[in-house]
Amino acid sequence: MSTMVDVRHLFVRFGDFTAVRDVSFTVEKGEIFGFLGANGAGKTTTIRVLCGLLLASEGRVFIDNEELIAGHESLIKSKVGYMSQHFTLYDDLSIRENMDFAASLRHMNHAEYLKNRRDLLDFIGFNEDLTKVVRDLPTGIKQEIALCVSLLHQPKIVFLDEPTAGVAPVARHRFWELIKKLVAQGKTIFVTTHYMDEAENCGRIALMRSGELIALDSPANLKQNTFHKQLYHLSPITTPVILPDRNLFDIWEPYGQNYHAVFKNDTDISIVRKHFNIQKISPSLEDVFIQLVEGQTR
Amino acid sequence: MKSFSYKRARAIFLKEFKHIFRDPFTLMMALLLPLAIVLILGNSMEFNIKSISMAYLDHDKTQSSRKLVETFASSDYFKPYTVESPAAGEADIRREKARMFLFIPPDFEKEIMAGRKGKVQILLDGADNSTISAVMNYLNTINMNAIYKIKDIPVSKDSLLDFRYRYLYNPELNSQWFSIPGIAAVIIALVAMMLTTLTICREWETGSMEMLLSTPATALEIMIGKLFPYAFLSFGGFIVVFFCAQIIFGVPFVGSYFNIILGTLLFIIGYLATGMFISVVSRKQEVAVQYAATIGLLPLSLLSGFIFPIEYMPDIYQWIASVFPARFYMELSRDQFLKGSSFTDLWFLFFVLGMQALVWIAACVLKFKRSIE
Ligand SMILES: Nc1ncnc2c1ncn2[C@@H]1O[C@H](COP(=O)(O)OP(=O)(O)O)[C@@H](O)[C@H]1O
Ligand SMILES: [Mg+2]
Repeated sequence: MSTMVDVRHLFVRFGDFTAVRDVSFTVEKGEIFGFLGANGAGKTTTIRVLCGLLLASEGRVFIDNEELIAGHESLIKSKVGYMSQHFTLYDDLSIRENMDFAASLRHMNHAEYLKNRRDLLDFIGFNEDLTKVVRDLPTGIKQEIALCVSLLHQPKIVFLDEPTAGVAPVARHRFWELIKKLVAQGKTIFVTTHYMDEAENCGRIALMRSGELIALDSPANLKQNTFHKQLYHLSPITTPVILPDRNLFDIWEPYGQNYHAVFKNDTDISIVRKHFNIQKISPSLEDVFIQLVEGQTR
Repeated sequence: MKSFSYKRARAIFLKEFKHIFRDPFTLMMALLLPLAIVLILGNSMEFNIKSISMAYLDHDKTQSSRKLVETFASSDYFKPYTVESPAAGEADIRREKARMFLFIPPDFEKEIMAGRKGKVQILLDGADNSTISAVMNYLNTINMNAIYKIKDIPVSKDSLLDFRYRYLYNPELNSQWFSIPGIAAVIIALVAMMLTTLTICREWETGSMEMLLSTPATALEIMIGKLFPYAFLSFGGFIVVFFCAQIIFGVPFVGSYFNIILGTLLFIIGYLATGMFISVVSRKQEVAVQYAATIGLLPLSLLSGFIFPIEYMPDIYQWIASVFPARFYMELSRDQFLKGSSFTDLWFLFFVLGMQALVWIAACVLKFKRSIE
């Protein structure tokens, strides 16, 4: 596989605030690349640089082997699709008008545009009236149409910034099926999300914290390598809950009404057994993230 | 510098028009509000004044001159009485005994018989804004009736009498009444400026600006595409107000349509560009609206010469007023309504308005480019 995105020592500063600090990674062609991190971690900022919307303060960026150079963003812009975090479509325009608008901004040939539009709408299985005003569409459909808009000019890579935020679970699932289909067609997907179940679908995951890249690997490797000791699921059997001495644990994280924990010393399990049901578990991605993000701050 | 794409600018332009037409509130604001203001301003003035007290002095003392005075007397509108001297006529106006003074010179009939236009002088109370327009309206009717009586032939435009107006107190007639269409234009533009400001801020706030910028669209294309729909909208509003002022209220207009239209367009574009600049700088709707109100209203109310004549202001204010187009536009529109100077006489005003439009648009584009980098 060859490289689609190559980011080298990227810094983005706003005044004296550094939003992205020394971030380097590559995204391979045909990959689903998940970009994760808490709010304010610098995900959107990084994406904006990669789409040519924001100048890097330092570092180099290559998209499809083409270096992104200030003043020459338009070449890059024709290669990438972008679905921004907040905005998807103009609410007061119809589906067709939104698509027409995007196509004319990109100087698309009319016949080509019509063909791509038909293909994309088939792709998402949308066969309703295109004169429908966007305002009246359910969020899930809106996001799918927005995805089509970002794909109209047949970019090699699409950047999806939290495309499923606020979308109902069924529709989220549908959306991810589309993402997988796109990758199967050879597109490269760069996606941010808050949902851990979605992150499982990514080929590789980059984890950002306060502007820094703190982990980058496949979900399986992350789960395997993050915890060096056994992880336990503890569910309280007493009410009120009697909390054990925190010094017994390396990790102690609330998980709904239960807890995920790693003992300093597994022989201490018997002490806690009086008040909790204890089960061995293998870590989920969520455990991994909590561990990576919070673990390092302690 | 990337080349300007007409197609992209047009796409943005058309999209903006759709936003406008799908939001009836916007449309109403832009078109009806100024009209309402004009109606209110207009109605607060008196239009149907009867028995306007009128002093006259007939130095000609011929059949023709007597017929002219008779025409005034037989209309319901005027109540003529004679005075001893021009000075007495003027004094009566100052004492508000008369609203106008008619002076018929000695060669009045001779001129008419020689096939030229009979000249008379009419002195009006320039400070009395409320009646002036009504009087002027009646005078046109009187003129036609009088010449018909004198010559006993159907009236053509060239045979009309030559009424020479002078305004007492205020020879330039710095009258607010005559500024109404100009003021309306500024109000329309102010509304449009707010709308332009809001639409750009909205694109920032919803994040659609990001989407626009992720395409090859350039700052100039976005600015032009956003500005012109509102420019046309407010120009449409101006046309409505302009003709209503003439048709409903009979506001006299002596200038050329070309001058007023060109001047208004340049003004609107320049003015909207200042609003656009505000929104590029502030990005937030609430902030932008405050700035727009301040910057938009300041020159309008204080500096454009509507309330305080600019010549009497301290230099610093004159200087500030000169940065914004409103001042020059008010000058231009007042001239076109009252004097009707030619394009060549006014070239400097056109030049300044044009330059302001260019400079403000350039400022927007530069600032916009900066802010996205
Ligand atoms: N234009 C900007 N000016 C100043 N600070 C900014 C700007 N854009 C983003 N930031 C800051 O950079 C940080 C990262 O933001 P962002 O990339 O949007 O985070 P994320 O998308 O991961 O939630 C945040 O603290 C945010 O406040
Ligand atoms: Mg974000």
